Amino acid sequence: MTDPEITLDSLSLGMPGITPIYGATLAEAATVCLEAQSHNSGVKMAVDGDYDKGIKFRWMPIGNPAQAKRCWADSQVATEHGAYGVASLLVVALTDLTVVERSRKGTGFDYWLGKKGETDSLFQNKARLEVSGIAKGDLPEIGKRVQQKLKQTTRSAGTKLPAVVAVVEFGSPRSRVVKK
Amino acid sequence: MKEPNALHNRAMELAEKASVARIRGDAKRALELLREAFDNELQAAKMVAENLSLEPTRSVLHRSAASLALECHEIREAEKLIAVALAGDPPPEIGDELRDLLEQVYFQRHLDLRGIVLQPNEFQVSITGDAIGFGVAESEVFVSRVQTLEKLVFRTAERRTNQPFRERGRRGSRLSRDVEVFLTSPRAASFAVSFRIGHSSQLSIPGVDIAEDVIKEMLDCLELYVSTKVDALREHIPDPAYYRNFISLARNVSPDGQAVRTVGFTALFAGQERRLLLKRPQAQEPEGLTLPFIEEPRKVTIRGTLKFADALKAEHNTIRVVDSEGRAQKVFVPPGMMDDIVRPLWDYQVTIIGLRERGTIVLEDIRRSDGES
Repeated sequence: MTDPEITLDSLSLGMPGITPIYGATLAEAATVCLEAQSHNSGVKMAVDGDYDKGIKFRWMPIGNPAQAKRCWADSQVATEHGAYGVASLLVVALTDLTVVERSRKGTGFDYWLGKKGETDSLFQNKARLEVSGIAKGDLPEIGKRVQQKLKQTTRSAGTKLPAVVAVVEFGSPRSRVVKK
Repeated sequence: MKEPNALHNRAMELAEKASVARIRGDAKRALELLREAFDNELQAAKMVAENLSLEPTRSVLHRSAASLALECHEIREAEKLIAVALAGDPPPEIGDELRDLLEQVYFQRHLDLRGIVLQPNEFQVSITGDAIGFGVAESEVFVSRVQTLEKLVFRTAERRTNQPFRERGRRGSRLSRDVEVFLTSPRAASFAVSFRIGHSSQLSIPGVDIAEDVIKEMLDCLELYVSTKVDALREHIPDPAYYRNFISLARNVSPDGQAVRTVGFTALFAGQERRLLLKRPQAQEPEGLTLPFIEEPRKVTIRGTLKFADALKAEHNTIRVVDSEGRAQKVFVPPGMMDDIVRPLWDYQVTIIGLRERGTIVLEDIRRSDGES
């Protein structure tokens, strides 16, 4: 059986909760992060956690590499945005959910997942997408990040909101996706 | 009249555009877009404010509007939005996030100088967290940060006056005399003190006030550290020993995430107030800030008691870490680390991150591992 494939550039089509222009920005960040780790289009990403898959990631060459390098000079910002791009696509590929809403949280966004086609009730009956990005790390580091995110989402005894935790590591590359 | 959905969607589109503008380096445009986003999100939040059963939408919209208000420096608006959200019945995790946001609102107030007039040779440091009360602080978390900041001031002064990195021994007597650090009495904000750098005209950078220059340089570098602008930080501190020393001291000043949640700085330059907030916990410092100095490293982690160090011979900058079974592991300490970072940890339980290089372990990071930061 052939490995499933994801095209980063499909983010530029947008999702109900991500505009095309912002989707393109997330795709560019993910491309910069993968290329910074010397990966080429077609690289296979191991996905574990609640899943066990190898997914090929493809992308188009960046139009203006010099400009992209300047924009994404802050590696932490690039990793964070790139991880959100990859995680959004993984959720769509692995589940019947998609990013349907977002809200402002700190200086970034808090993404909310819903059934595909469900966009009319803001945050009612939605799950949260919790993402963490690692430029280059090992399995213990990925495990630590997953635990941190799970702890964050369950720090209150009366936790009610469902969540999907995704940790994206660009070095291997590997992602761990866990539903809470 | 627009529906909350339409207003919220418009707000988020504008906020996304602001994020793209910020990434492309257009900070002015980013702020304009954020202000417009805030106006839309504020209206959306107000439209659902009376509907207490509409959770989590009600609290999420208020949290979102409050976040935008903080980004636009509308501190009072942020406080009101958070209060309205908490007065309802938010889901527990959104309630916690609202309280975190409220801490940021209050911290902005702590950064206020409250009638204190800072001189160009002074800066205020304000700390919040579980170990900090209103005007009181656990001595360990406070004193350790004061001592680290003093080191940071002196190292910056030494670097700015073009002195080679002082690996061991006391500060030069002239520097000690000319750049003295004084603390003003603590005051209730969260817990705030002012540092005053005394100086004479003998030590100077031509045309520049050394105290003001040191404070500005220190805040510039801390800002680059906070935003992980590694290349720009290396341009500021090209000497690897000074760079390594700065990163370690900046980490030690940073919050641990619980006992200390935020460390804030306020200073005045040319009559303009400058604020800087350290929020990132020490454990979440990105690896890229330190690693690339050593090529193709192999990372090792060692836990044990730092028993002794051989600093007598300049060529043998080594320490030994003894594990629970009495085995000693030898670690080489690179320039910039021994005096300020390693020496204060002798006889403590430590965790060391090292890099194996040709049979030797080179220290990259050392932290206390007995529950103290």
